[in-house]
Amino acid sequence: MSSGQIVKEFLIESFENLSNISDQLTQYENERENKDLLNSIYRKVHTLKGSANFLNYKKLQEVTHNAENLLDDLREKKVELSSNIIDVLLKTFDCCQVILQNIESNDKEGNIDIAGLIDELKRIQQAHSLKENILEMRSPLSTGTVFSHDSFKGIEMKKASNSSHIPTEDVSSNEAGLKIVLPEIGPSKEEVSTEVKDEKEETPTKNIADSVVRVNVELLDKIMNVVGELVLNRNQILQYAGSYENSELNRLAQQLNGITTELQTDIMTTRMQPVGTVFAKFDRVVRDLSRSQDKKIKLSVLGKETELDKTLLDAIRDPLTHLIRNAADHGIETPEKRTQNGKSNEGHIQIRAYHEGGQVTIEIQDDGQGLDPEKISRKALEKGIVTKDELERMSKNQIQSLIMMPGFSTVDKVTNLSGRGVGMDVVKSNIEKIGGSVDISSEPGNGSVFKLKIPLTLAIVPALVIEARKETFAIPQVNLVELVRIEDEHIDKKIERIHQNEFFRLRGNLIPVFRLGKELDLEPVSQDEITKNIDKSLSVAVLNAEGVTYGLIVDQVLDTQEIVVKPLSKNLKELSVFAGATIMGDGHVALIVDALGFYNKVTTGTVNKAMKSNVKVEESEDQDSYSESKEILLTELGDGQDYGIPLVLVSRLEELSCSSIEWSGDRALMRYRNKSMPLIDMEKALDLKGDSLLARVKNTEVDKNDRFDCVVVKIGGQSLGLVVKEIKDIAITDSEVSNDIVAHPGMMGTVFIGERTITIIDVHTVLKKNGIKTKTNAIKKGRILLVEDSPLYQKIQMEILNEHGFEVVLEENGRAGLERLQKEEFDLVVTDIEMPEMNGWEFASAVRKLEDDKLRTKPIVAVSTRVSKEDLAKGVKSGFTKHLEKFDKDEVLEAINFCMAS
Amino acid sequence: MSVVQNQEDGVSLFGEDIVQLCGFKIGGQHFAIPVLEVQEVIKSEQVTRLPLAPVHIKGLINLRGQIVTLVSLRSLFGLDEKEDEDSMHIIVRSGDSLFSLMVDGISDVLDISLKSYEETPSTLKDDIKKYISGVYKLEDDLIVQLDLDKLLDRKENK
Repeated sequence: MSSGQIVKEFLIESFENLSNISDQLTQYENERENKDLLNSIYRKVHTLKGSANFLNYKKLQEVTHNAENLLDDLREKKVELSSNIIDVLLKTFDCCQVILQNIESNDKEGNIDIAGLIDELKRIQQAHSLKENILEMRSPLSTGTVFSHDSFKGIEMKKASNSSHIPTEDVSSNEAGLKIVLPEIGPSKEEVSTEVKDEKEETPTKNIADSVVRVNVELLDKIMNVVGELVLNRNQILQYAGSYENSELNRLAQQLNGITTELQTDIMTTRMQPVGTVFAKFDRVVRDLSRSQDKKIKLSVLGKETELDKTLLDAIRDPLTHLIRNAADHGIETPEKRTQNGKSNEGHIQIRAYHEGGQVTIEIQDDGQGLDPEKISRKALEKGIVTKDELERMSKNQIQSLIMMPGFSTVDKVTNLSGRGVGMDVVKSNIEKIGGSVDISSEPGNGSVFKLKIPLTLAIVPALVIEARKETFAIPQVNLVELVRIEDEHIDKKIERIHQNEFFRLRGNLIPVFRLGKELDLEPVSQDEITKNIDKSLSVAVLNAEGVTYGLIVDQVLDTQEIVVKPLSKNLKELSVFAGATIMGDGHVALIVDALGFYNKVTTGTVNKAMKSNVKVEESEDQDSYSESKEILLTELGDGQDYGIPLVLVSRLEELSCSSIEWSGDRALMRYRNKSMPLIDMEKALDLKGDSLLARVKNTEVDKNDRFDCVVVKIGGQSLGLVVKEIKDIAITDSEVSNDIVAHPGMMGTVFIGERTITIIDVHTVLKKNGIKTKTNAIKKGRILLVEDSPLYQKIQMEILNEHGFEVVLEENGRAGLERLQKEEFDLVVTDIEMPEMNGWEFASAVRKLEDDKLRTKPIVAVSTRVSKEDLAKGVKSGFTKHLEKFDKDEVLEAINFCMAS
Repeated sequence: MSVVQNQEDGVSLFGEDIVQLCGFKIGGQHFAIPVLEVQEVIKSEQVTRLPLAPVHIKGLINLRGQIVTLVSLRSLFGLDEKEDEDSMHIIVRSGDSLFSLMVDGISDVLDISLKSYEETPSTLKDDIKKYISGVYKLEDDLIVQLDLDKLLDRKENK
């Protein structure tokens, strides 16, 4: 073994020792009766001293020697332990750390001044005098002699020079000044440790080091890689075996599969370490901080046995330390302030680690002052991180999360511990780099919780394989929320377009969707391919990343597989759209889509106003439980004002070319999807001042190639185009339509949206004015009891039902409805759920308890915005015959016809 | 040009210093990189396109389980692409990753005397000049040595 290697071994061992010494010292401060602990510390210091001596590191020798003396005095109870002493000892070992680091980088101990430290140590040992062997240790060891001394310590010194790998002549050329050539080196390592053990007879603790093998992390990484290759190869073999239908081959392939899986699991386990190894440092951090700031802080740790892959552990070490520092520095208040606020004067920081759903969650909770949204908002505005508008739309939670934006720091003065404005955003990016996430929740005044979610392992992940434009991609399952398949007929209804952006209605919520092939600019498939592909349904993968949910339209969903993530080369890493690449079973390369990266790319530059207003609504708490949220399409008409059209009536939003407008007498129409569609002049219909586009087109004032916005509605089976000046936005409001101020016929009333009052257009009246006759389309006419409290929906539903040949009687709530039902004859009931006085569930339950058979079995069709699984189940229990989502006209009519027919 | 037997520093029989280069042709011009930087030479493999990547990055290929980035040198040098399916590729390592350099054709391993080394002539296109580490003048030809790191470490997207 070369001299360089001895030093390397020395460094590895000593760093570890020092780290342990530090941890144990901190622990010992709180466990002063624990003699074992003190002895363990002593032994380690002793080993350190011995090695330092052997390698002739003089400063290290001197420092450790003095520390060792002090520790001995503590052991012998010649000196009484105090926090001050712990401080000095900790300082001593920090100093040793610096020396070691110097040796590591420069092969020399460096210029560090240890005089002050030595003095302090000596002073503490007042009653204890230094032994002369210190002087002896300072003299260089001469060749051929074993350093022997008749004192107790001397013998130990000899044994401490324990390397069984005997250095030969090469050593003498070592810069560290090794001159020791001891061919007849003392007893071997194992013997040394046992002898040392024997001398300390107090407690013979079992040496756990015997059952452990120390392995280089690089080697483990290499093994992981090879196992990764094996997994890929296994995938390929399985695939080929499958296509050969040879039973023996299959059997062997399956065996290989089992063996590989087991190997994979075992190897991953070798790399797993308990998070406790990282947490152990925090005792010291908290201790130092609380002393330097005069705060009382207690740290408790739960779940330190929770295991995590070593690379992940290394990656979270710094972020976690930062969070702990923050909690102690900014979170926990001084004892005075705490008692002032009625809290105990000791602050509490708790770290909790646990497994959950394929991830490890680490929570750092403190009962300090929490995050002040006011302060954060102010700082964020100052630093230009957000605009006033954006701030207004944010929830408390979102504001608190602003602290993770780059360039943010709320400390008024920067302490050297935290708050340089590079802290939280670095934490966030480091955690995200390993595939994890950071979540903040905080109650100002009460404390904060920082939740880190980290995936269990990096390299091998389950993924969904999909195809877009004949190319294969993989989406990690962790980002996949669900898969939705939209049949051809439904595509129009479910996918809505606003200008260039497409949206998908997923159980009442509007989420943005993107076409993978288009966004990635893939080769378009030839026309023949498209027509060959009879199955025109769409597959949408709903993804979630960082709280953002969106849909990805793909051509085909293939299957789920475990894939090995291979990183892209560094200069391609800027393509944040891809998280890496993998090799598929058939050998070809597939790219792995990064859910967040893709989303960021496709939304830069596009103003997704609709999304933002959607977000606003989702955040609103304390909703009035009776008012349902209504989606209103905002359009601008020729008079420059915004008008609203209930989105439920809207079929599509289009931007069309003026050249497609045709005239039949005075009426405008155009060819739309192979049918003739009348175009309605909205300004004319509503008697508004200002230009109407259609009028201008008629007067040939408009260029044929200009485009215009058109809202397509479908009434009575016919599509009609409402020509507006501009389609603006989709807003969601809970406020009810008020009929107080009705400016014109053709207007239904007004609604509050944000801070404005918007007039809602009565589309049905507009159409009647234009002489549009609507076809009736009922299989069977009948009498329907409509129970609905919202004026807007009352009107819409009545119109639709009337249109289809049903006679409709309206009641405003469940109680009134129940009475009416018993007084008059009805064929069927259509009811809302959220209503005052008696809601839909109660109504149905009451009906099902009536004595009259005919009444009891009356079909009840519930139409509501509440369609979650629980709601549906509750509906069944209450007695709904059908339960549908608001507001799918065709679905409702179908259900009604179905119930009537049976 | 004869191929010298010994692999290492290549001291020729005449005592001159010799450098061993792997030669290849792009657009009629002769280029080369040190032999020691070449891992292997392969035939064209199935490529997976890398959407949104710079134009000279043609995609990724699977080399015995490793992901290799395919780079078209023609494209990098601003030349038109060739539709050659059967081109040969040179596999090199730069930084942590493997790259496959798409070239028009591969020449022999050349033993070139360091004496014929010259500074990069200023007449060469700017596009290419930044990748060049030097030029060797032979009797009938000019061999341009490329700097692999500069070639592959480009951060800008075209």
